[in-house]
Amino acid sequence: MPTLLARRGCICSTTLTRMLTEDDLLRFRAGESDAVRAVYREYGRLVYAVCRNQLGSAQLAEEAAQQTFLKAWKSAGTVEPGRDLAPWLATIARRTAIDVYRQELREKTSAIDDVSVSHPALVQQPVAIEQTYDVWQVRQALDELPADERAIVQLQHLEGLTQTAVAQRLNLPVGTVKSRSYRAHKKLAGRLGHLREGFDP
Amino acid sequence: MADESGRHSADESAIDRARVDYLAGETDVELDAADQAELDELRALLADPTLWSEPPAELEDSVVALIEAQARTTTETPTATTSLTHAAASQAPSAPLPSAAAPIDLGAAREKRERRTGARRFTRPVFLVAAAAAIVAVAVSATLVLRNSTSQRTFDVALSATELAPGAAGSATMLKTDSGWEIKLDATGLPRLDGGEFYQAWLRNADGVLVPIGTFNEGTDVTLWAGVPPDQFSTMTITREAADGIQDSSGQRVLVGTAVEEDN
Repeated sequence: MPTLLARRGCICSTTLTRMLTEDDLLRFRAGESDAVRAVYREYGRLVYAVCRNQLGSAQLAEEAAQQTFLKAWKSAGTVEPGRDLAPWLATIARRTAIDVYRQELREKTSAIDDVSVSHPALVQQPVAIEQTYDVWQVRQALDELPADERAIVQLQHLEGLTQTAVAQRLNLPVGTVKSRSYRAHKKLAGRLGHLREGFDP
Repeated sequence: MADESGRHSADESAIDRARVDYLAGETDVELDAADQAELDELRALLADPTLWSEPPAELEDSVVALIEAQARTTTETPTATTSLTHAAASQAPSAPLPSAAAPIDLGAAREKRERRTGARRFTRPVFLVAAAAAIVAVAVSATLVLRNSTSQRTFDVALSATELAPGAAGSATMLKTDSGWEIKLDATGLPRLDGGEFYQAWLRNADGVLVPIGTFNEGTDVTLWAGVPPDQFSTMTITREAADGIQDSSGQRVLVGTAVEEDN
């Protein structure tokens, strides 16, 4: 079932496109550290967020993120220069996270009592590719917000603070928080696909 | 007509405003059920802690070191491209480009470890066939034994230089013994440290826990010992330290790498 962003038809949103030049790709394929580093800095947080969302555990997410970039490097020859790497990397990240998840399952089949109650195998199932890409796109949109706006969105949604509480936490006038919050959410709405046909933030 | 169009735009604007307000947390807005359900999904994503999670700072170095190590041990570049132009393909290296750091000879490190463990690698086809048959014959029972035995486990680490030590490089081999993990380190390009300064090696796990595994003055032929397993503490770092009474890492990393288990 298509999820949030897929239903909105924003999977191929041009505002979120990241591209590597032919030279970037060749140097990445060659394993040149600066090229690998550049790809990581562009996509590392997104890959990690997807892995963390899939696996829950920070340790497993780190392992999956490492393996994602290794797999991407090994198959970089199949990437067309100028192509947005995001959907490709998101797919690799999801599959790799599932591999790590299954590996954990195999290692934990001896005795259920030995498995931590917080183990991802017990508390969640791998999510669908559409949700994976939702996570990717939302995270990317958040990263593109100015720091002051992003901080407000984080406090509002992650910590559940009211705008008044956010203002107190950040020592800002409530009016400033309200205007920044509105700007940020308007940008999010725009970048995460048109909230409906004809919406143009 | 113009009035109708203008009224339509005004209606849309009001609805869009309501949607943004709702996304921002306002509840006293009028939305249809479908809109509200859609925005609830987005709000649920925004409230998901995993969405906001940040990768550990060391992950970048680990990824770079892992791919550099793989590139060095690969004799050909990864899957040949089918999409690059002929001109670009002709410029593509047929083998991985050398990095700025000195090459790491993982093969030599592996040979040294094999000499210590008495292991040998068969390279002739007849030996490979015999070895494969033997492996198949004992696979089922061996699997159970190997799963419970870590006495022969070994890990290799290709260490890459950081910006603090351009040109440095190193490799390490970790061998499980009854006493713990014996780690043989060879590093080049690191100046000798003396007079209260020294290098310190560490293993780090995914939660950022650092375990010191030894100190040294020069990077050649160093033996370190670890009491934690490299499959859990897989990031190895070398830092510059001073005998200042502070036991924590200085954070001045000169080499970093990731432990990769050698296939048995």
